[in-house]
Amino acid sequence: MAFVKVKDEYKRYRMGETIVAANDGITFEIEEGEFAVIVGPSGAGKTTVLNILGGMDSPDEGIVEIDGTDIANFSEKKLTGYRREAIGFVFQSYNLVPNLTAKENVELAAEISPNALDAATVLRDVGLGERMDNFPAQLSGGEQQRVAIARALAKQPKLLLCDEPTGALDYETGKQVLKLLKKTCDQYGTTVIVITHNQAITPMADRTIEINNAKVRQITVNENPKSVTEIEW
Amino acid sequence: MKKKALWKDIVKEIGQSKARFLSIFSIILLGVAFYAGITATSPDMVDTADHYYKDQQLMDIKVQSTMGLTEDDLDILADLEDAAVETRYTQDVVLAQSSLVTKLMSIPLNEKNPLNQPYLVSGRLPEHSGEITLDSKNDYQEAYKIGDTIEIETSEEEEGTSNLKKTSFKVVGFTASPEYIETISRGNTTVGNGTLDGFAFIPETDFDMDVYTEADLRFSNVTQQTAYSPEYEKAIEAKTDKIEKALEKRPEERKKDIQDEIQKEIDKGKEEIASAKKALEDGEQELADAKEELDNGWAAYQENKAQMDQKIADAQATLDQKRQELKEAETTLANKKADLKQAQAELDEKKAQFEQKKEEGKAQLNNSKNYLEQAQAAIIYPKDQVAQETQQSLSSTAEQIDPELAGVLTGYFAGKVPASAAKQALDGFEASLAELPEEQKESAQVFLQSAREAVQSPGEQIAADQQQTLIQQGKQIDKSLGDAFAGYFAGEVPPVNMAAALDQTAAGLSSGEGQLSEAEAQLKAGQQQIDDGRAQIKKAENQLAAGKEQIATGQQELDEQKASGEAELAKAKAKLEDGQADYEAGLEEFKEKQAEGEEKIADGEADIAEAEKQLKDVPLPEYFVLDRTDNPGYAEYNDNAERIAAISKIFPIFFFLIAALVSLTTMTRMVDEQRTQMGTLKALGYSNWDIAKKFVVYSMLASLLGASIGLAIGFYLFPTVIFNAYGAMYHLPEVRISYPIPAILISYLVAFLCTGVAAFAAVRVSLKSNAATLMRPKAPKIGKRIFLERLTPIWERMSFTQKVTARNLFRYKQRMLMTISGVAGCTALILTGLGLSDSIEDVASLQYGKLHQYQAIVALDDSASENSEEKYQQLIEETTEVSDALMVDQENDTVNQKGVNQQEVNLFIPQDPERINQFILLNDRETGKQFKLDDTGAIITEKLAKLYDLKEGDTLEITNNDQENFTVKVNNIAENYLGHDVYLSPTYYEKVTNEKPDYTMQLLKYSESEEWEKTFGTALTDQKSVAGVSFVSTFSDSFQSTLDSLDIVTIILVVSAALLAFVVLYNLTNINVSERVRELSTIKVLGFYDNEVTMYIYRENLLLTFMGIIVGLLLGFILHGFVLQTVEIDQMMFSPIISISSYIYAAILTTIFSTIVMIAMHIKLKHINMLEALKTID
Ligand SMILES: Nc1ncnc2c1ncn2[C@@H]1O[C@H](COP(=O)(O)OP(=O)(O)O)[C@@H](O)[C@H]1O
Ligand SMILES: [Mg+2]
Repeated sequence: MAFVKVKDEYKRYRMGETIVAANDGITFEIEEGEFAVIVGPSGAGKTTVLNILGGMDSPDEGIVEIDGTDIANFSEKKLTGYRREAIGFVFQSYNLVPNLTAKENVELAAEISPNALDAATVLRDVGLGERMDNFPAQLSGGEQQRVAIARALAKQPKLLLCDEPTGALDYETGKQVLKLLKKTCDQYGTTVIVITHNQAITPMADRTIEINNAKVRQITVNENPKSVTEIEW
Repeated sequence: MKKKALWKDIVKEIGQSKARFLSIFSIILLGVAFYAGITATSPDMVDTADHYYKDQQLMDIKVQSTMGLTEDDLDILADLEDAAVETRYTQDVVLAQSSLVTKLMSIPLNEKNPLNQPYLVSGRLPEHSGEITLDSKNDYQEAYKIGDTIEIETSEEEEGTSNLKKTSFKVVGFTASPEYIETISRGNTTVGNGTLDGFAFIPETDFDMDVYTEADLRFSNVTQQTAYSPEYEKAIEAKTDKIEKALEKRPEERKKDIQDEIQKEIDKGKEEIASAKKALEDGEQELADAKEELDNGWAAYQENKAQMDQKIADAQATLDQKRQELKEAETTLANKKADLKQAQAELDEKKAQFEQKKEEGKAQLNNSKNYLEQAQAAIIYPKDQVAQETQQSLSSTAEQIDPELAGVLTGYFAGKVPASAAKQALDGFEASLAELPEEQKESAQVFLQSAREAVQSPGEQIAADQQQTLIQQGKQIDKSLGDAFAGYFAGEVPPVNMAAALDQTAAGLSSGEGQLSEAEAQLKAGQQQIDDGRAQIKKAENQLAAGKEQIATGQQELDEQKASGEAELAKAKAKLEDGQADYEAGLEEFKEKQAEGEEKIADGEADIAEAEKQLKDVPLPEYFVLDRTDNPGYAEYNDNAERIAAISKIFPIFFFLIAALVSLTTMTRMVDEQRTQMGTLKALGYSNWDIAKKFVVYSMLASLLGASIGLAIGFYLFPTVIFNAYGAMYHLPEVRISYPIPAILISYLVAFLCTGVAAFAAVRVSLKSNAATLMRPKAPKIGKRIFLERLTPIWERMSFTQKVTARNLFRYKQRMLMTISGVAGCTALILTGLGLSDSIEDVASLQYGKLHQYQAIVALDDSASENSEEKYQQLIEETTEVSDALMVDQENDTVNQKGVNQQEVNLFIPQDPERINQFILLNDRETGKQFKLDDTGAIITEKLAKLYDLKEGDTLEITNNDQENFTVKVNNIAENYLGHDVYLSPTYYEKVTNEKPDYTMQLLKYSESEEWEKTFGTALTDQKSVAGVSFVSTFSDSFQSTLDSLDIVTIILVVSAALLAFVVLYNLTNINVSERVRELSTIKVLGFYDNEVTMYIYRENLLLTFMGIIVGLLLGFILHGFVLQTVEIDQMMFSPIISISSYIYAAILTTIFSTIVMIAMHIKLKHINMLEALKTID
């Protein structure tokens, strides 16, 4: 039984007169503890899928089963609860609260989570033991993204969703972030789904789901994923 | 950017950010409406009054003098430059049915547009004599209807009514007057209880006065100025000076005129007295003459009367004597008559007896004669019976036989021997027969036989009945006759005897006849005698009658004489009596006239003395040149308008400040949001101004729209509402709405500054950056450690959310300050409004609950009789509900001092100063210490002390009704809220005024229902000595309603503040949300529930609101004190205390607005599209 199971999922947007399908019968599965990458060109519908998986949006049709629960028809409130307990998010643009220190940003998530980890520990884990009391503005992009990851991890989510986490980062930092994500996956056994438009990243994934034009084009399971250091782009 | 594009962009922008546009629009609308409205209110109030004054031709200046005005005065006034002068009579009177003390004012009937024209409320103005229009005050409208007839109380000692030709008027209408714009106060008077209840207009011709009461002046060029304006006041001041100067000499002249007049009158009076005295003397002389004449007449009359009386008495005496004599003669005659009568009677009786006897005798005689004949016939002689031969034979035979017998027989036959004796003899013979021999025997026998036959008793011969008759009759005639007859018949009496007896009887009969005729003769003689006597009497009677007649005639003559004499006398007497009566009446009249005349003379002399004294000290008449400020309410109305003006100078600043803050924040936010677009435009080569235009135009559009609508609403709403609130205090026509240009300009300017400039300022900062910087998102503000974090122990003890809140609060300092000041401003306004209401409301409850503890004031009639006063006191004593009573003297005086409005003060002199505190609490407002009213000084009330800056120990000069001044020492200053009171002990009052207090008021205490109070009230007013009763409950109520009207101002403040609070909070929260939408979306994504999200942001708002409330309450307290000072009128002191509940209400109200905003925000937050917000800006 797959941990994440999306079946015939549709999401349509109305753009004036025309209706655009952002997701057009998406179907895929991801096993627990996998490091999955969803790849596709810009506008393919990746973010839409991720938002639906993360309970930030609901599909128009289809089944979205997470750990055996179909969240496709969850109410707004149930979705919020679902996000709170099961999901960790990492955005391209970090979305840290600028007025809170790194530690506080993490605590913000830990505060509401039932089985949260200690903020300081997580920050140390992501290599920010020294920068805990810094404000986001005092941190570099990579550091900020690491705070964001720490914030996501502190909740001990079942699913860590990352939407273009390296999009705003330079190559090295991006690699470090990917490394951290991979490490998280390995260390905590968290199922991680990373969205990217960068095909080069796919070799490090246990499973690659290619989406194009609102449809899943290909799903590749990689028995021997490469380490981050091995890949280049 | 092309114009079209710009507008398109703006319109689109407005559509996309309705909330922002609306918030700028509404805050400007509110601010402008409030500012413009409240600013226009004061000028509108003045303008309304000014038009009213102009329409009704309210006088500018009024001239009065203590002695009225004469034509000379008017001539001077008429000569003044551009002055219209009108004269007026006035007279203060009491209306009989309602006891309303009323100022009657004359209104010219022919003048179309007089000065001080009454403002008709209903009915019409007087057009004919005897018509009246009354004050439109409630008291009058309740007491009278149009068509009613009003009687004016013609009081004893008030000579006021003599100034009127009529005392009865028909109500034809109700009017207000520009001279009396206040609804209640009408000023003071010397009539009734000293306070005027109202005014009334009657035709000028119904007055009857020598001098005018006042002259009203209106200056055509001064009147151009707006009332109350400094120009007007200055012009009036100049005119007043001019008039005063023009009238400068008048007092002396007038005095001289009056003195001349008095002198004239004195002379005239003296002359009059002299002639009166002369007239009296003449009268006296005349009377004396008349008296003498009358006395003579009386004497003559008496003499005449005596003479006549004597004469008549003499005549009467003679007459009476004659009458006496006549009477005696009459008596004698009567006696004689009586004797005669008796004699006649006797004679008549005798006659009668005689007649009877005569008849009887005659009958008897006849009877007896008859009888005698019968009887004689009955006498039978046996010789005639027995045949001669037998006689012879027997006698012979008897002789033979016996001689004796023979004798007996012969006797018998002769009739000499009775038959019985014959028989006896025969018996004897028979007896003897036997002896005879026989042969003889036989013959004897035969003899005997024949003898026997021959001897028979007459009885045997005459029938028995005849016998009996004879016997009886005989017996009747004579017993012996009867007996004789009986014997005869028995045979025992011989017929001879019998015959003899009869003869004897016959003889007797004839003698009886003789006797009878003799008696008859005697009777005749007696009758003759009597008849003679009668004749004599008749004669005497005739004589008597003649005498009587004589006397009667004499009497009649006498009577006639007497009557005529008496009549004459009576006539004379009547004449005399008439004369006497005339004289006495004359005397009486004279005496009266004399008394009167003497009194008049005395009076006249006293008058002259008085006049002479007057002449010496004719007071110098005082001339008063009064302006409109002496009209009750005139100045206060302006004070009120100025008070509103004062408010209009403070409050709108708050509004505008807040509006400016809100606008600036909003525009700054808007600029921030549009950074990217700005950068793009800049990159495309648009000029800074081109880019800024959009923001400036956008914001100005919102604010100018808001300002325009705000002006429209404000100019109408505020003046109307506030003016109507004052409507309870002032009687004026509908408010005149104005649109003052300065207020409009300022409104637009402020709107422009608040938004356009703010927008430009906000944009300018951003435009300094280059396009690239702009296009990138604004560098997030660097998080900063806040001060609190340095206080590690506290910081560490704070929960995470608290820390976040604290950090956020300090991060957005601008917004924090804005929120705090916005909320504080609103709270302050609300608290000020509620506090004003408290202060106002407290006045009634403190004044009539705490301080004035009596329930009624009874005004007693000064002139009432002692009896009715006693009756009143008895009523009070008998009314057990009345628990306490206190007599006081109350006077309405004034205090004048440069630089302060003239103040009316109530002088209170309680009869028993020890007890004053049981009726009116005199205490210190702050310490509550009770004051004692002693003889060393006065207790005055707080506001009075405040106005004149008096402290304990200072002195205060008071002017009484007679314009006399006296000074009191201020011992204590007592809590009081309404009016000014000065309390004096009777002793102290006497000391300072040299007058004795006149206790004409009584304070009463009771605790009963209003129902009872009503009936008690009628019982009181029914009392003759009660001039009026007022109940604290009623003026407490009416005062309360006046105060309630002030509450409108409060409500306006509170409502405006509330609206402001709402807009501010909403706007700030809105900005807060939009500024932090990313942060909010993030926490939403993190799994914060909706209410957690709301609280995340609102926790800050609540804290800010709380802080704002605290600051606002402080600010409100200060503002309240300040506003109170400007709002307060001279006659009132507001309680400076704001009740705890108002603080609480202000806080709660603000919190409620905050909560409403929170709910709105919650809904908004719920619908935040977190995906949209978090979208990576590529
Ligand atoms: N909220 C939205 N409204 C309208 N169209 C949307 C919305 N979100 C996504 N789309 C459209 O759906 C398509 C897929 O978008 P997205 O999932 O963001 O693609 P990707 O993340 O792969 O770049 C795009 O064509 C995009 O324009
Ligand atoms: Mg995407």
